Amino acid sequence: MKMPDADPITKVLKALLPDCPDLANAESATSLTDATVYVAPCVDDAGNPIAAIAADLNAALHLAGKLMMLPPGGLEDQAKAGKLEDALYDALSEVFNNLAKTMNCVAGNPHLVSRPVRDGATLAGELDWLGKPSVTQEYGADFVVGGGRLIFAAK
Amino acid sequence: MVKILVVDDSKTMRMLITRVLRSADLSELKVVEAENGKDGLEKVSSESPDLILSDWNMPEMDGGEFLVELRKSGNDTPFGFITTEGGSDMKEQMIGKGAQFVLEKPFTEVQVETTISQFVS
Repeated sequence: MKMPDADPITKVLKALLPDCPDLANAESATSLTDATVYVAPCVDDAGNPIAAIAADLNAALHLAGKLMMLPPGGLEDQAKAGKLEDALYDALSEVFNNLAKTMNCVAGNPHLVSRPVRDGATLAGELDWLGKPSVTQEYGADFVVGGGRLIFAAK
Repeated sequence: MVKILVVDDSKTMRMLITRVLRSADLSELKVVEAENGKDGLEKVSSESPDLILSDWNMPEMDGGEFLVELRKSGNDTPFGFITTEGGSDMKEQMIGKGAQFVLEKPFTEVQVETTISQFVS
């Protein structure tokens, strides 16, 4: 499976969140099995979870929080608390639902649909490949609460 | 009064669509929400909406099944999909099942207003 470039991802995010920063390709450095990494499995048409879209805390707070129009102060409080509030999981899932189309637009990739977001540590118990994906691409940006990463991965 | 049924398994997306609808120039808008096709069929029966906006990928009963069941029951309420499924094959499939339009996520307020104004005022 091939991962999309940063440009189409930025384009989708800016359509959802006009003040979203530009993303750029970044070195792989994030563990998808961390409790503060938020992961949406992506299933193929047979329902098999063969890919994932994830965000670290700073990226998750920006993407979900801005979609819900939370004030920056509220996002900073959550960043200090070190976790994403339960109420933002659904918002982040919707952001990732929109981002799944960027993988579908890559020629040769299977059709994928994203599933609801869970934290990486919980999901790792069900998706053993999450600890060692065969393909990973990270995208970095300066989000409202600091530098953060989006991660696309495949089994 | 204009009554619009919004069917999406994401509470966030239902809220975003409702926010856009409320900003549109519609007189006396009432938004009814459902979280999947099965729930949507019940809301159509109890609320008789003027327009239905539905997601495609949903648990229990997806948007395609919802539309097929709706049309099978003889209901011809204008129906549009709001979905990330933007491929031309998928759009053809949606229109083939009886949808009047397909709006691709992420959408803009203008796109939603321009499209729904053809069906409600």
